[in-house]
Formats: sequence, structure tokens, C-alpha cells
Amino acid sequence: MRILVIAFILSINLGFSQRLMNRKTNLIITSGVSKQRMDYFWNFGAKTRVNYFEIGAEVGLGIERTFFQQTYSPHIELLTFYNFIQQEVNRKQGIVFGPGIILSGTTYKTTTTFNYGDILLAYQFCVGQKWKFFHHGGYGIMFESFQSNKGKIVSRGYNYCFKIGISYALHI
Amino acid sequence: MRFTFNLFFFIILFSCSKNKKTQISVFGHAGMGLSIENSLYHDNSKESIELCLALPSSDGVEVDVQMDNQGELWLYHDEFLDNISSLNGCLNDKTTSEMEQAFYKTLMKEKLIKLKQVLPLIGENQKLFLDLKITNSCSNQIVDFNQFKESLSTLLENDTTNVFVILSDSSWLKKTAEIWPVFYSTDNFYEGYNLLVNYPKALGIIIRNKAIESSQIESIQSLDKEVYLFDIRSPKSIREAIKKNPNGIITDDIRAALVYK
Repeated sequence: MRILVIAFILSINLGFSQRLMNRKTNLIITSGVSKQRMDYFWNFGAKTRVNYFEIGAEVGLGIERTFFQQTYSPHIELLTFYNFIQQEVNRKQGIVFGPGIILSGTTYKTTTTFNYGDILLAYQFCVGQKWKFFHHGGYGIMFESFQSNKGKIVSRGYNYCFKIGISYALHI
Repeated sequence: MRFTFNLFFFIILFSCSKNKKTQISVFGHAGMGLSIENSLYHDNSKESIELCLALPSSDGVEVDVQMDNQGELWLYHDEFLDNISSLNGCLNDKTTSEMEQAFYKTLMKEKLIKLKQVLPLIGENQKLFLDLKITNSCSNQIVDFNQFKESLSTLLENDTTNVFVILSDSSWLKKTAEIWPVFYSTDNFYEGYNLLVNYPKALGIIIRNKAIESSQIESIQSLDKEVYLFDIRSPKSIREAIKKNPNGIITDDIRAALVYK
């Protein structure tokens, strides 16, 4: 499996020897849906690119909790990626790939307020030009905290993120 | 753009409509839930049970009890130890010292715990349901009643007011109901109903949510017996279960169920 991934990355670099994608893009808006351990999330956000680095922020809602349990579960994400592959395939298509970090926070109110914080090691894969399809995957640590009758309880576990969405570059 | 904004606004507005609050008791299934992704810890582990009991408005917890071959009572759900724990075979065939080394094969490696470690965790207004697993699946035999009775009596001799026994095998029902408050667990309403008529000392039934209608719950409650529902995992099944108006629900997603408290 690892060999296949390496072969795939090399084939992109060797097979598409056109110029690198235009790196002047400075504002991209995004919308996506992610599956995480506690819920599905629907996010909107913006990101910017500086050379190989990409920094973004997203806000969203927990789908199951907000729309099916009729409570309220806001979600915020900060993302940063190092896109070491930024390759044009043709005039209309380009590929972006790189590792990164996702920090996120969620709250969820029942008889108490649950607060969640995550730190995930992640990657992103984007394809397209002005409009792009993107995918983020990540895995890391999650903390849950809430106020009990005996005081604040903090628990630790793992979390993951599998996100797909679309983005639109406002200024190229 | 304006249309998108309005649509988003109405979705949020609609999603925030208030839930009806309920007086129905809410219990965690084996702690924070059995085989459910959002439970941070393994079912029947001390961590999971502690977390469940610490939740504000949690009415208690249901746990699964099995006896080792020296009479010690342990919390464990499955018939076999293989695959999910560090041991193989059946718990009923293990010694206490073997069991003391056992842990779940999870990221957290939670230890298997004795029932006596759980009893002090129960709050004043909380209930503990003990689902007794009395069949040794390796030998296909029912474990020794007298040894089980002695072990459980020793643990419960000081305080039994918050502790209830669940049995899914009717062969122990009569003799158990003489000693402890007992519920019968079944997937068949008619079997449960007839059993409650024949064994007046049984307090009620524990039944799968999908196996009973609200009118059937009313008929059992009219006998002055209680009904608790289990196998409640999704937000939809929590809503459905609460609508049936049982005495309590034993849910695998207690965080979601507490929205209605």
C-alpha cells in the first residue's frame, strides 16, 4: 500500500511536468461535510495560500446534534497545510497535496455543556482550478470536558476526520 | 446570495426548536454505551461507568455481571473473552488472579473490573441494574446458583436500595425474586407479560425498544409493574422510545438522551 502511494506521488511529479500552479491565490472560500467520531459536521470557511503554506478557518454545525436532536452544536476549525505538491495537470485541472494540522473545538448542550477539543495530524488533497474538490483526512487526540455535580470532568480519547467539500478561489 | 442566507437562517431557526422535557429515567447501557463510536471508553469499564454516573441528570447505569470460577463477580458483556480482551475462553472458567490481569484490547487498554469496584460509585438518587449473565457458553451450562447468590449477597448486604437485578433466564427468576428486586429481560412482550402475571414478585420487564408498543407498555404498567427499554442508539430511536412513555430507557447514547431531561 505504501509503495502504491509513493508510486502515485512520483507519477504525478514525473508525468505532469508543466509549470507549478499559480501561487498568487490569496483567498479561497470553502464548504464541506466531515465525519468525525462524535458527529457529522457541515462547515463553511476561508483559507489563504502563501507559497506552499495554506492557512484556513472554518465554522460549522454538528449535523446529527443540531438537526436531528434539536439541540445546538457549533464547531470551529483551524487548519494549516504544507502543500508540497502543487501541480497543473492541464489548463483546467490542478492537483494539490500536502500534510498538515487541524485544530478544532465543538460544544454540545444537554443537561450540561460538553466541550470538545481536537488536535489532528492530517493531509489534504485538492483537484480543480478556480473551483476545487477537496478532501481532508486526519487522526489525533480529542478531549471532552463537562461540568458534573462533583466538578469538572476531562476525558481523553482519539478522534478522526474524513472531510469532502468544494472550494472557490476568489482572487487568482 | 439572499436566498442562501434566508435558507441557512430558517434551517438554524427550525433546528433550534425546543424539545419536550421528560420525567422518564435515563440510564447508560454498560456505561456510556455498548459498541458505539462516541463512547470514549470500552463498555463495562470503570472509566465508562464513572463518566456515565458523573453526567448531570443521569439516573444510573446498567452493567453486565459474570462470575469467575472462584466466585468473584466481574463486569463483562460478551460470552467469550476472545478478540476483545487480553484473555481467551469464558470468564466463568478463569481464576480471580487471571481475571485481575485482563484488559480490553483498545487504545486505552481499560482493565476488566470487579462488581465491588462499581458499587461505591452509585450516587444517592441513582440506580444500578445488574444484568446477570448466568450461562457458561464454553460448557453450555448454567453457573452454580448458590455460589452466585453467596457472592452477590456478600456485596449487597449493606445496601440494596439502589441495586436491581436483571435476568434473561426464567429458571432463576423465582428464587432470585425472593432475595433481590428483579426485572425480567425478554424480546417478547407476551412472554414478559405472562411471566409478570405468574411471578408477582418480579418488578417489571426490560425489553428491546422495537419489540414493544406504547399500548403494551401501558398494559404492563396497569399491573403496577415497570418497563425499561433498551437497544436505543440513534436520536430517532431515543425520540421513539420516550414517546412510548416507559419508566426508563437504557440507552447507548446517554449524552443524546439527556437532551430530553
